[in-house]
Amino acid sequence: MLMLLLSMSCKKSFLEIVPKGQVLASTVKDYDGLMNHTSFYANYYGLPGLVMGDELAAEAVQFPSAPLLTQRGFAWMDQLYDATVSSAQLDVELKNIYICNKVINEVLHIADGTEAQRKNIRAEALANRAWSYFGLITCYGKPYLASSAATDPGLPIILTAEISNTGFKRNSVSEVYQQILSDLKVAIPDLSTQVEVKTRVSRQAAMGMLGKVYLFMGQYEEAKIQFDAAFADLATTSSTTSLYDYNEAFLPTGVFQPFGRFGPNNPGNNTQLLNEAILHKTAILSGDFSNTGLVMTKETMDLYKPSDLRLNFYSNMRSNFTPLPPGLYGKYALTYAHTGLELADMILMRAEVRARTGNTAGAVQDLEWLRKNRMPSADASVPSTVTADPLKLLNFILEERIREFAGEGYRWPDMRRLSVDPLFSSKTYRHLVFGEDGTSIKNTYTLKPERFTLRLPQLILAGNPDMINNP
Amino acid sequence: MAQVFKEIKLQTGYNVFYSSDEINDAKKTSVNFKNTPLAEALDELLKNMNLSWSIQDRNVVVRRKELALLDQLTALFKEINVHGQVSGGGFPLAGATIVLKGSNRATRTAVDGTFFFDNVDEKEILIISYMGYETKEVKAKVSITVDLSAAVSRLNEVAVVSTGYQDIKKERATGSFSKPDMAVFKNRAGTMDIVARLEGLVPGLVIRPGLKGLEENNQLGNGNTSQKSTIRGESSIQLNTNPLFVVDGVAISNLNLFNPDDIEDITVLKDAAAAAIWGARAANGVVVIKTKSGTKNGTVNISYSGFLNYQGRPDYRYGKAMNSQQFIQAAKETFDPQQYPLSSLGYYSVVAPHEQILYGQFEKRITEAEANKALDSLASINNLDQVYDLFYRNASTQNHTVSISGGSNMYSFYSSANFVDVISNRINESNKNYRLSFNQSFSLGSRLKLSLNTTLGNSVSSQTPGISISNNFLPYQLFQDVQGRPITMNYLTGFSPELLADWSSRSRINLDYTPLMESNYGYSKRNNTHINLLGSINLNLFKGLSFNGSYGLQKAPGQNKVYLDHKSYELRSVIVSSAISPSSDIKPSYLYPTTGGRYTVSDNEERNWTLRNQLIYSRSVRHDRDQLNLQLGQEAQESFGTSTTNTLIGYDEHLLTHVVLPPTFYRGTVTGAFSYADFGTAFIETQKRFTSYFALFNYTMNGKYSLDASWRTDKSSLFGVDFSAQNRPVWSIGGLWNIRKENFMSALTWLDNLALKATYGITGNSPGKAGATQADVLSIIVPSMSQPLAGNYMEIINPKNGRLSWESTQTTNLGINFSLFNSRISGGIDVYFRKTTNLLGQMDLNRFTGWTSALGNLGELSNKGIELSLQTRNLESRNLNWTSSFNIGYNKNKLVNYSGLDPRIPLSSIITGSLYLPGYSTGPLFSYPFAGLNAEGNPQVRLADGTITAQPDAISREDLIYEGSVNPPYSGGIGNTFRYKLFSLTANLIFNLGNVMRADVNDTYTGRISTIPTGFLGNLTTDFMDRWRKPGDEQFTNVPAYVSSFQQASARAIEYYTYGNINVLSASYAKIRDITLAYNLPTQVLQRLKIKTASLSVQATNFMVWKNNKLNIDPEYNGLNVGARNIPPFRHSYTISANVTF
Repeated sequence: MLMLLLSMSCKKSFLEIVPKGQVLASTVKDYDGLMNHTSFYANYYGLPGLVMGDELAAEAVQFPSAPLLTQRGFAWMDQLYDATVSSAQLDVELKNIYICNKVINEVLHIADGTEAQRKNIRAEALANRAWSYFGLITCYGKPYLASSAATDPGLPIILTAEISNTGFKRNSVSEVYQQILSDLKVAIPDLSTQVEVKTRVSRQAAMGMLGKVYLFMGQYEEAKIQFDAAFADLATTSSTTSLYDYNEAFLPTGVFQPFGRFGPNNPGNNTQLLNEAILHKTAILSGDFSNTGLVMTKETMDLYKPSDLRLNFYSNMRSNFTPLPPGLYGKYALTYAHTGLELADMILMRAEVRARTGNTAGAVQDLEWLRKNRMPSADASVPSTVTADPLKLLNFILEERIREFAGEGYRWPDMRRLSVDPLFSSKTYRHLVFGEDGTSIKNTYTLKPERFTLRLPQLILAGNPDMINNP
Repeated sequence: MAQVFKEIKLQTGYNVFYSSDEINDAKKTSVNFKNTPLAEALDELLKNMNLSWSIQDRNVVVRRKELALLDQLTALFKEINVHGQVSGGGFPLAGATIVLKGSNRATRTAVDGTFFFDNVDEKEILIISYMGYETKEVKAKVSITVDLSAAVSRLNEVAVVSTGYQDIKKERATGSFSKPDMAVFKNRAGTMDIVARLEGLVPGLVIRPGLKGLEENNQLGNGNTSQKSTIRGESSIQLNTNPLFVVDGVAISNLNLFNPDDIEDITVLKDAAAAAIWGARAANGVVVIKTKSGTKNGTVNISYSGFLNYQGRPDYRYGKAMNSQQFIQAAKETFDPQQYPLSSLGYYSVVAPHEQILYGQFEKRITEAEANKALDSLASINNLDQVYDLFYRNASTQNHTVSISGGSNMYSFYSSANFVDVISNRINESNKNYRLSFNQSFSLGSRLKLSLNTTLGNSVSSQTPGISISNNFLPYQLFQDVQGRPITMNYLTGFSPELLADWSSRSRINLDYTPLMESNYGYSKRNNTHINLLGSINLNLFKGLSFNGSYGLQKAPGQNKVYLDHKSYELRSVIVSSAISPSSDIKPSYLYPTTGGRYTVSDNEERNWTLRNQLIYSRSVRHDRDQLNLQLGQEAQESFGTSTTNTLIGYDEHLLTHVVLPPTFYRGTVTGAFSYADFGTAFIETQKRFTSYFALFNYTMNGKYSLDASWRTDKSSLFGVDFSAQNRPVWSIGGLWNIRKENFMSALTWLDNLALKATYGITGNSPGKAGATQADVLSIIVPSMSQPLAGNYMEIINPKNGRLSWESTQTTNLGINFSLFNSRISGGIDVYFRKTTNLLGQMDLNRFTGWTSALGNLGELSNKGIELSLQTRNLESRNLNWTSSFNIGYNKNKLVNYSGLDPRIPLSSIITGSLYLPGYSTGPLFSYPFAGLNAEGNPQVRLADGTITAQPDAISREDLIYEGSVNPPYSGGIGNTFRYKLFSLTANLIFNLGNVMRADVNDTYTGRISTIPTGFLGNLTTDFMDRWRKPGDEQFTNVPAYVSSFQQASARAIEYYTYGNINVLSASYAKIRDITLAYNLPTQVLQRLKIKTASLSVQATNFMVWKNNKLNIDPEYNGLNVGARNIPPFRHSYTISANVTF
């Protein structure tokens, strides 16, 4: 027996134990599992843009008890993060970039699976890396302006997964955008139009994302090509992606029933309702940048016709169920903001590029496609005074974006790109804090032009002392 | 004998003539004659002694008996049968060891100190030893009487130290070994924790005191804990700094399995030369424990030892909590309904009774007079009595051990049964331990020896759910009314009465929260079994070459059951959240089961085995002038653990039925939405394997010069680490020079022993041990979201670190051992230098890597220290003995540098965290340079440039004051034992010096003064009353002003005060850990009771002798870093114990 034990303990295989529940990535399934990570799609807790849009106002009672980051973000303050506080957005996106880099650099070299499977996973990682960078550059880089993008400081372009990396340098805004474009372009041919669940990147999603990036770069023709291609792909999968017709959804037997304490059962608070998602990603509205103490401006509420069914998402109660002062409304039926690609977003973006490239009829067609699903069709058509004037039409489309996405953080990136658009660059923005009566103004914050670009958190700079912060 | 003869002369007038040689050869005797004729008395006295007597005139002449013919023949063969008696200080010594020099033959003395040794050549030498006594060598003869020098057990003159691999004579051991005083260890009945009993007994071994020092429950959740300890300072940041515990040669993961009463001997290995043979696991030192074994003298001993320990209840007067009157006063003064209107508090926040009154008055629902009356009545209530009566009881422990030991040269055994019943101070808790041990050894001829040690243990504990309450809850809140009915406190749920009423009526479930009732609604029960088998075999192969095998197997299955009934508030609130109630007249339906309860069963099991095979070559060289010992060995080890946890809902304990509910998210219930994630079954399985090879070399020349060397390599089944990265042998080398044995020292007769020693060695830790990997390690995760979308995913649980390397520690130890004036003074001094490079630790990463921190090589840590131990025999006389021991260790450690990335630790982390900063000791404590309050009552600091400011962000790292470390650089113990006749009094003092701590100051200076939902907090400390209230107060007080709004509060920095230098204190203290008075029953009484030995002792513990702070803080129970005062579980404990041998 002794000899048996002796011989056993000498064999090398004696030490080769794979711990239960642990694995080193080697199969398609492993890499697929990495891309299935919740951090790519589920509720992270600190998207600054959620409180920065001009569709929002604050109310004096609850706003002081909102998270500090909400208060500072709403006031467009220079310094959002204290020296020791990290940015949840940066933490999540940089970690996502790590995962993507690992997948991009490794998955083609594994022995498992077919080449198409491996390429598909890599393409998904490329698209996600692009989207993470797009989210970050629209916070920390100046709004894209072709004339200065090559010299505007952006973010380090990180293409390897290695924790001992140091010496990060800020690449220019242009370089970051080029990387985003290149990642998406490499990804698109390898992606499929069919995905198992809409948290995973389909070809139409990547093309829509690419269109959105072009839109934000002011390259409307390029954007239009991508949107058209994406809609063509969508047409082949229309059964899985379509708009909810609110005229039906709000009926007593509709999908938006029942109304609970947090409003109708809708995609804003039920992540199982995925019909309108092309790529489903969410950020939660009760995190660092929460909507506590925030309400809609009166101008925002005035954008809606009384028959607009999207008004069902508003309430005059605070999140703690105490009543708001008369005349103030919060979007109470909204728990998650959609940060992926929504069908309504792509419709409105195509409407915008169509309008900007002179295709008024197409733009109106897109607009009405959405509006018919949001209100009684009698009220859905675009007024002829609007269709007659291209600038009015453009404004109408941008307002429709507010009507559709108020409180979801879509307005802030729009404000950014409009700030470098000669048509809108003269606009100034302010945020109001309403007093307890709901009409008096307790405080006014004005957006300084340099604050379209956030400062990098001190915690990031502490580890990278040579990096120059945004002004 | 001579004494008896003197007595005879006194009583009879007869002179006794004898030759002193003959008498000295005779054995000692004790006789008791009463009215006995002289002749009879002499017969009785001299029988069995080879002596005869005759009376000539009035003289008695005693002579050697003429040997009978047969006796004379036997004597010719020179093989004699030795019989003798061993005593120590006049008392017979039971269990003393008699070894025939140069052989393996040995025996032990019986209870009366007698022994027999058959077939001994008259030329041969017997070595007689007993723990704590000086070893004597005696020439073999038929009758031997030896009195070992009147030593006392406190003098650890133990001849042998054990590394767990070999026993080394202490006089030739080069490494740094320490042995605790086993008598003190044995008497420390206040705890059954073996580690805690070692406190203050071993220089360099620091026990982390108090509640904070308890180890966390281990991963498999079997709930075993013992106190944290470090040997010679922390040598690692990330890894466990506990020493390795070895029992009977085998490393043990759970020391709780062993009964302290079964322990015979402990050796602590401190430097590389002592410990390196244990390989990578020995980086923190090793504690080697030997359990008792049977005696070989043919008798059977039955012993009983037991104690009753009383601790009482925690003492809440120790804290600084406000009483009700003070609290109500503070609450009135800070009430600010403008800042916190009742309407803004929303639907989930607590409005405590005093606030309900104040809001009532503010909103004019009650008059000022009514409010004051109601508040006065709250102020007059004190809940401390109820807290004591309803939540606590007097804690006590009883322990009983019965042991039987015995045997012969061929077979011996030691067996014990032990029962421990711990009654904690928490009501409804129970904790019982049962242990059996059976140690046997067999000698089969002179070549083969086998031994088998078996231990079986079972621990059963239970407790009920319920609240943990201390003196920081609202001091006026009673828990039961005058009639003894539990009081309902719905405000603690955090929901408004209207909301609770609405939910209750719609769900038809009562939502009352009655804290005192909660303990009736469930239980948790834990049952752990341990089985430990240790076998060893020793086979003499060939002249000096032997084979030694050690095999250990441990198995520890356990189960934990937790049940929470649907009557509990927690489950009632879940049921309400799942109630669907379309209208008030229809009975609601429930998604969650409304009967039974939630039942969680965890089964865990640990299975470890070790096998070790050694070849030992040991012989004398150069005609016995030199000794050589060589060992080669191989070891393999596996530890395997599993745990399975099942959670059932709607579980019916009697019918054994439960309800299966799939993960659910449902909108539109009574509370809005119901979400349920199925916990299902959770598995944990861990498996680790080691293989090692080792070699040992010892050489002693002329008994003067010794050389020790060891080498070992460990490979383990680390995942994600290349095997090639594991090729890092640990090794050590050491030398000893016994100067006293040099000729030039022979004139110094007062010097008994003087030896110099020096050792050097390298030990290390593989990065994988800390959990770092050279590849991304993935784990599959089941999302815990209530609405899982995309299903399971892969998480990178360890990122790859391409630059990982081993943590390695170089240790140099220089030491002197000495013994003076016939061992009246003895002791040792050790100096050590330890340098750890590539220190493994959690390092902050550049955030752009995507990770905030990961395991890696941090930098270099140095530990330097000196240790002194001294034993003195101050007074020795027939009736009175006084011995002392003193030991002190000084350790200075410093993080020399960070080789990892510059982590840019934020200021607030430096202040609050126990972080590691280059250039400072581990556990550095920093403070703000407090500069009084400003005219608004806000704390100010003085910056390095002299500016005084109250600005929150004004301070930078350079302005901070380094106060010292929270780890004591000096620690040690002083022991004194007085023995008067049969009484002995022992007092042990322990001390920790030179470290610092924060005072526990109030830190609430803003916001509402209330409690939190279902939390039992809310009280403030009394320094709040001294706060700044009006301009000018800053002249008299340092306590900041209260401001109600958070916005105002964020414009100032309260931490300038709470973490200011004025609130940093010395944490030095000295405590008498225990005082013991023992009494040995006199022989006459024992004989009448027909028992062999008996002693009784009483012990009292924990007397603060000195502390270097004026705030009455016991540093043992203070969060040193954060300044949080813990309430000690007891003030003093008292123990009565008895030891009886039958």
